[in-house]
Amino acid sequence: MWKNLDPTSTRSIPEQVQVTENERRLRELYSLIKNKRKKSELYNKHDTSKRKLLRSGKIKLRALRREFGEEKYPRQEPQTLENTRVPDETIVDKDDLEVKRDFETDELSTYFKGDFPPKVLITTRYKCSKNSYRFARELQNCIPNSVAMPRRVLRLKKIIKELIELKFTCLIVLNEDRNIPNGILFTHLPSGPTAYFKLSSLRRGQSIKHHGRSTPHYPELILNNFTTRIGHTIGRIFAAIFPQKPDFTGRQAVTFHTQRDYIFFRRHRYIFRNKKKVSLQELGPRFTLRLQWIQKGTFDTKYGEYLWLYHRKTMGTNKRKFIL
Amino acid sequence: MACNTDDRKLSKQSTCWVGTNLGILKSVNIENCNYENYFYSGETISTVDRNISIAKLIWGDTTNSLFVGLHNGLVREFDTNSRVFTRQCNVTDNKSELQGLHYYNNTIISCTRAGRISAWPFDGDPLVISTGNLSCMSGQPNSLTVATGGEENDLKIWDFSMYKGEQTLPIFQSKNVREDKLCMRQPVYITSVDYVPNSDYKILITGTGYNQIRQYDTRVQRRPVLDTRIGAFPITCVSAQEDFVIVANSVGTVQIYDFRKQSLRGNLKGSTGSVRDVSYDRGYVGVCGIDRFTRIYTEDRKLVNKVYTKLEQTSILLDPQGIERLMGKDTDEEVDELWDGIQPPAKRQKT
Repeated sequence: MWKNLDPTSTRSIPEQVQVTENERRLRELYSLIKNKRKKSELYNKHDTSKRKLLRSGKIKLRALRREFGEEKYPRQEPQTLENTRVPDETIVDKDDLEVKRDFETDELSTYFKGDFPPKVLITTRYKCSKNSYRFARELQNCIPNSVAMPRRVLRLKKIIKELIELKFTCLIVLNEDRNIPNGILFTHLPSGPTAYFKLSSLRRGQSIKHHGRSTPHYPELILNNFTTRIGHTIGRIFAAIFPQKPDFTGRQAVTFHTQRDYIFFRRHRYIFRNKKKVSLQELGPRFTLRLQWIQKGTFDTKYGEYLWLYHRKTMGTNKRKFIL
Repeated sequence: MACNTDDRKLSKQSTCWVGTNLGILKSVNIENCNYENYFYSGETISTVDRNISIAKLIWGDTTNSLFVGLHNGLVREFDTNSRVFTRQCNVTDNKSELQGLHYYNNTIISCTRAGRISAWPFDGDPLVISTGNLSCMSGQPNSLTVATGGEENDLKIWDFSMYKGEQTLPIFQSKNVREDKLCMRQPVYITSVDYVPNSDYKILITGTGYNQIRQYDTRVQRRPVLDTRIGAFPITCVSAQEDFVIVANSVGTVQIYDFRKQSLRGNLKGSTGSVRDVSYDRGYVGVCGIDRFTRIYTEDRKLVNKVYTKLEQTSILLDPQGIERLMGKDTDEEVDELWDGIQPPAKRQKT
């Protein structure tokens, strides 16, 4: 145990971590302690941290950094799953003409070209609990030009047909299990696409500490980290729910942040404290989404065409492979 | 196989031809993992639209000419040697989407979703047959015969060499399968049909929207001789071979079904979205779909390579020359050269 730190042999130890006289004396004192457990505890207290640092060369690097400056010996970024992600072929250059043209002509392009505001219906599954309906009301508060309606015993395909006639642009359906909302479906009208997400960590605005009250201003939209082709499709599905021209006077922002294939929904108001400082006030609700499937066209789970479907077996178990 | 996208010289050699939903024809080189775009004269990337989405690719007289059928009813001829579109013509009544295309002896046969099958000779008036809703058509090679099917429109075979006006009857009309145990009529929804080669074109395979695979033998009976269910999602395309059929569905499962053993051989893994077309040539399988990847497999279900082509794909055709190149790579060339280099032993002289 003492091999490396023995004061007589200081081969591999840099000067800065050489055992001082004081420490050596302390150690001699510790050796007199009869309680084995206490003794080893004290020994470890003095040494392990240093040995660990030695092993990784951290002390050496720290000394060099102090001497030559941070520019020459920069601090390394920690490795995370995100920055070591498996390269995805579908992440292409922003100005790629083909992908650009694909966006310009897809089903949602009419919305992004024109400046008519979207019209959204929010509903739930059959016989939902009050939890789901409360969440639907909260979403209605959050999405401008939306209506939350209790679902009667009507088939979704029938509802969609009527909504297209009434010129609605999106249908949102909430699913629940044991009185807890656990799924959310977005169907864009009249020609799709449709996406279904698993919903978790739902927190209503009221239960958030220091939450604010929302105003009916059109919010700004922040879409983070939607990089792959499927990610872009999902980003467009979210973007097409909200009006394109935000009211900046409202200072409200809705965020869809993606990290490791989970999509985090947050809604804030920003407040200018002074010319430099800005603070945030959360308005709620708060929830997390996980993509289950995307479909071309409107809702048709049986005969529709799937763009992507969650399938653990074919996706593999690589934790550094992401689809969004 | 390593991807070398910088090597642009070899990209002119195509392994397969892929049609996309923006009307762009792509020549995909699977060895170098790249592709090349071809536009009709006057069209550019900023003018193409989903109206000219490619519906079907078929070979002309030789593999030098490629016919590209668009959803709006136009057919364009592409010269694979000089790599330019040479001409175009309209082969539908512009009332419905083009669904299928067939070429034989300077005649193009097309079918539309509304049920209009028409044969268009290069010089002359079209011959038209009307039937119910159609979703697929497959042509018998070297003949003016086509097989069609659709929603509530069971398999029918039409022969344009025996054309007798618009009310011409099909030369074969299949019968729906028997009612089930509850005496309920079985719904009909054919999504894809293909002729089995080496059967004198008497055997056909159909895939249905209710995930069934049916084999018809026109010499035996009008009902299918084989009827099985595969998976749980609608079948989007089938490609029939001598003793097996490649089946793909709307969630990206591609399977090889052996209809002699009546069992599945296995999956061609990789596709994540609905598969739109499957093409087979001498032991190689090309798969394309709306997940925007072109994948080439060997017959023993190993992925050769995949290429990201940026657009949704609607149709694929393997290039015979490209397949020959792939086959050449598989055989051990060095060993062959060694054998070729060895001199045969001199004949022993009789003493």
